[in-house]
Amino acid sequence: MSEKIVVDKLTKYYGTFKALSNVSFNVNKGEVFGLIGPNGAGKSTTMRSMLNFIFPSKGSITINGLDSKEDYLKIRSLIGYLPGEFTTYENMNGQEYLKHILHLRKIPQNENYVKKLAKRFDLDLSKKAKNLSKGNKQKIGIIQAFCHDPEILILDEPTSGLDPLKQQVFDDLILEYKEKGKTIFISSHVLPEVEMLCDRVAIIKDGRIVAENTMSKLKSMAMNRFEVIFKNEIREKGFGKSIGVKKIIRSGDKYIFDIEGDVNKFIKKITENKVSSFKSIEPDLEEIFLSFYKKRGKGVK
Amino acid sequence: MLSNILLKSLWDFRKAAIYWFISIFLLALYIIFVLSSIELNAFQTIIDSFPKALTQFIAGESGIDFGSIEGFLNAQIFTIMAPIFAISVAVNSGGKSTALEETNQSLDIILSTPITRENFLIQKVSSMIVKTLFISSAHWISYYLLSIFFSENISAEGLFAICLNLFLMGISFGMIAIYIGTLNGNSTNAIALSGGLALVSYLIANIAPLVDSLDATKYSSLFYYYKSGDPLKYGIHNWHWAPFIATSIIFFALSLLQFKKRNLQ
Repeated sequence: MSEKIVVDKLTKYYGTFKALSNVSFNVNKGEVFGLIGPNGAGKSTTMRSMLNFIFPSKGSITINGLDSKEDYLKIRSLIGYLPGEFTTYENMNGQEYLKHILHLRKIPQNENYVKKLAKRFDLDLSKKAKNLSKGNKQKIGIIQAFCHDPEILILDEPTSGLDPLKQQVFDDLILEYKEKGKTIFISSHVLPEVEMLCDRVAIIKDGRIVAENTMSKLKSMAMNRFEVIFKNEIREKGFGKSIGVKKIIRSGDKYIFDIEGDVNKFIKKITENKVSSFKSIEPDLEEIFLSFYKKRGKGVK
Repeated sequence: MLSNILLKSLWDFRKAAIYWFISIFLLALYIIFVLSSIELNAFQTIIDSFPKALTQFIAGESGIDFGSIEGFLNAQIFTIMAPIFAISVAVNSGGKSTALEETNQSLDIILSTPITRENFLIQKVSSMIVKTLFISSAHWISYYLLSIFFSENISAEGLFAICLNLFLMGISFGMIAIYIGTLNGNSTNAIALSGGLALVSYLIANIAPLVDSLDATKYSSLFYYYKSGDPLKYGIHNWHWAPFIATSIIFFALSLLQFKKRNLQ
């Protein structure tokens, strides 16, 4: 089975408020799929619906061919989950907490794997949670999600609170899991991380998926950016407005143009001047994200 | 001790259990020591001069009997102190059982493991029952052992009966707290509302019999069934345990339905 997660027209109402609207996407086996969007866009609602914590008003979620409402127990044994706000029990140390989770998962024999993960994250399991920093608590959260070597990982803001070194450890772990053919669904505010880890990304806005594609396709769909050096002075005000020039930034003799319209018309326009240098700048995920967020249009696929 | 939710919950209670037991035992020691050292009949003469309404308001319909150690325990310990202890533990445990885990979002992790909501709730209910049983048993053991030690004549059967009622009343209010907690996952509301309900129940049981027109309302109070049969003196009442069982079962069923169907916070 190549499609491990299928979300089909997922809609969720809270009273009259529509938290999710026809959210659809799928995640294939061995793929790292990212869901990005600001707070309140619907990322956590989507993830918590997958775990059957929230019941969809309409639509369906299938995980490994199992229905999220009917077969949720089977699904839970396949999944490793990290919520957006991970909380452990303050009166327990890391070892006790993780032992408890292993018992609940009926795999107490995985204690050695947990210790290996703790060593990798440089986590002292003997300290009580109340004495741990946010980052160290988050490490416990990450370890509990991985402790049963799950087929599918659902991770909501997994690197929140981690220092850059431990973020790297986490990234390496994700890539190892990907190599093992595991499926990973991740939401994050750390866009460079999503860009580095994810094969495909969906952008969610006000409960709707506004874009979903591979990183390279998203880049091509986003606003185009060009760096141009002219030999002569140009009149910045109103330059190319009619052909979709949205923004001009000048730095010395260098001009950066953000274009939403036809690139050919833009090229034609700038060649009306004397150009000494012209290059296209590839946008990063943050720019793509902002570009889709600024567009008020409907869903783009 | 951490192999399931029930055992984990009891493991969390271990220190509190020791403190509760010491407190209950010391209180019992103090009371029995004092009562065995004074002339109780002199007390009763003073109490007899009080208006009946006042004694009923303090100790319920049976009034205050300070002429015997059983009467003193009935009027003082098992009317106020022991119910406060048992209900506090039951309501605190019940109110926090699902609601606090939900508020803290620790519930998300537990329910991401292969455990159903029903299973989780049942283990939390069991934990509340065991904790309340512990408090009731601590009363029974303390007063039973100390009455033997001080050669005081306290009916073992009566003591068992009042402690059984204490346990049953405790779990009734604990179940109400659990139910309120399942409504919206707010543990503060669950504890405050069920605790408040226990207070109202106490007042109804003690005030209603003073006013003829309100007398019938006493049957709506769980406190009425707890003590009106005078279990310390007469043992287990024929059916006064039934309202506790019925309340517990009804609120357990409602909690299950509510917790199963609701979106988690």
